[in-house]
Amino acid sequence: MLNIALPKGRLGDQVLALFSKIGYDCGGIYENDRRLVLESPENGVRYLLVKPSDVAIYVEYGAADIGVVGKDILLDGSPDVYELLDLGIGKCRICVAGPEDYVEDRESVLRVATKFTAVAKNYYASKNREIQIIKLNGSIELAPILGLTDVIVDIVESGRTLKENHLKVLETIVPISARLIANRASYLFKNDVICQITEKLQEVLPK
Amino acid sequence: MAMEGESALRREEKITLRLRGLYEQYGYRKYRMGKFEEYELYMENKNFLKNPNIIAFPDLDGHLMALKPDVTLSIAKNTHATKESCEKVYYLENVYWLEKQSSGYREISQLGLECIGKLDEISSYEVLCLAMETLSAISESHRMQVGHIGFWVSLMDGLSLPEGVRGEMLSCVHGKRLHELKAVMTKASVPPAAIDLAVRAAALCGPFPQTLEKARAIALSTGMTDALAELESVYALLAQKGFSDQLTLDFSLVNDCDYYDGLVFQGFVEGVPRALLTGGYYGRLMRKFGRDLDAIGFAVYLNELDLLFRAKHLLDADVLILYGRHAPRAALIEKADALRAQGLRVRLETCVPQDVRVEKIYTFDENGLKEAGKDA
Repeated sequence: MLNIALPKGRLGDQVLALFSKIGYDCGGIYENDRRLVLESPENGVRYLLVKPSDVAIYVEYGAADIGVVGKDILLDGSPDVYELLDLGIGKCRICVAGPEDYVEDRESVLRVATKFTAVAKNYYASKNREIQIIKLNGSIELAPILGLTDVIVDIVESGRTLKENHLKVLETIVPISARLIANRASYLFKNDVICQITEKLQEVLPK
Repeated sequence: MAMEGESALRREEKITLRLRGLYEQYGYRKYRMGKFEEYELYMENKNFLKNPNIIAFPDLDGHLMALKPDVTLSIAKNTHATKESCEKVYYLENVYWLEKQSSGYREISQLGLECIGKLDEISSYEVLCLAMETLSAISESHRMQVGHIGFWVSLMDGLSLPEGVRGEMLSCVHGKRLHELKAVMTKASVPPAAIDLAVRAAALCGPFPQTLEKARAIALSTGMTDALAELESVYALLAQKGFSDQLTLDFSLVNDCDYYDGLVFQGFVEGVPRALLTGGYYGRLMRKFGRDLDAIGFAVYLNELDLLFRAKHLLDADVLILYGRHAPRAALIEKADALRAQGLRVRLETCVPQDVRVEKIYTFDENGLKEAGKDA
């Protein structure tokens, strides 16, 4: 049985559809219910629906053999896993955003609100810019509005939330999409089925 | 009463004992080192360490010392080996690392061996053979992944890459991120044919004979063909020993090129999600220490065995005997010793202790021994 960790929510639904397309459906029992485990013994797979930020942990620690996760999570946590495919879905980008009338004061330490602390740290270190990170877990957009920080580093999909909060994208740090990842030990012990899934997924992905 | 033979040892301890015997059969001598080492050694070779966070403290004379995070660096620095005289040592030491998820330091028991001097394919074979034997002593279901750093160094030398790109490329190779490897090389203006070659090399993974065959088709430089020849000759010896089914040749296995320069390998057993054995050639490290010597070795992280055997030693004792106030003492001791003589672990208590797991509970009184909850 191959354990596959998927992020709960919209991306997880898309990925389940993708896996179903290549012959690994979850047995037609998935109806947005509250179950966290979907099993299809005839296809030899068990889907684990977990919090998106936990997918990589399940895979790195071997509770799941493979998983699908956003590149943002991989960049921030640097889990020791194989990243086998860019699935090209769940596309967005990690950006620096600030108030619409924002002008950077180069003489002061830049205050940055984000949940992607490692990404923000590495980005500003590469630009040799001194920053102070304030870690927030949600509603990041509030931080510059209330003067808690100067800017935010966050995921931007359509930019609508930013606009509604009178913020704008200042810089794009990195484009993001969903990745197929595998545990290093599982890749050896369950090599045939993991390679088969990778190849089949590659065939159905837009070229 | 003295414990008899190996039966009182935990499985990890039995394995360690067996492996020490095995290493000594190959002429390896036990190496013992102090708990502390000069901090400077680790700072100068930070990238060699699996984890660069070190516990440091000032010595009485003001020297900054460290609780050792690694054993190989100390052995390599202090080796008496010369080109004429090879040093073969094994060790069982505790090292101290910062663990990523728990954000705290852990003491880790590490078993390993090092072979330093003028080495040849027999030395490589012996070390890999001992690594395979180590894995099979731990679990029947095991795999060894083997790669070659020299192959990648030679491939990249031929590309005249800008500063920093080599590290980025190797990081992509290590994570099998072929899509990103392509992007990194394209950004560095590498010609498309060379990108294609590197991506094909990074994807090479599988049984030795077939993978070597595919690798030969893309080996353009002497360095690459030399690496393949070395892999082939060591594989032939390992296959003769019957190890071929457990060996995977994987060109994505790369470590830091500043230290490693030849064969590299990682061992896995089913049930442990990470490599529990890592090793390879580290001649470059020796040269950093100003010694023109070869070196190969491996380390096993014994703490990972806890994951494997956790379910198997859940019981603290086989039998718990609860004795009453009036139980005849001499007969009680006689009964317990008789059970111990049968190889059982027996614990005597007046009431059931908390957090102690036993298979069977007996009571003992003037009427003798009977299973708890059952009338005689």
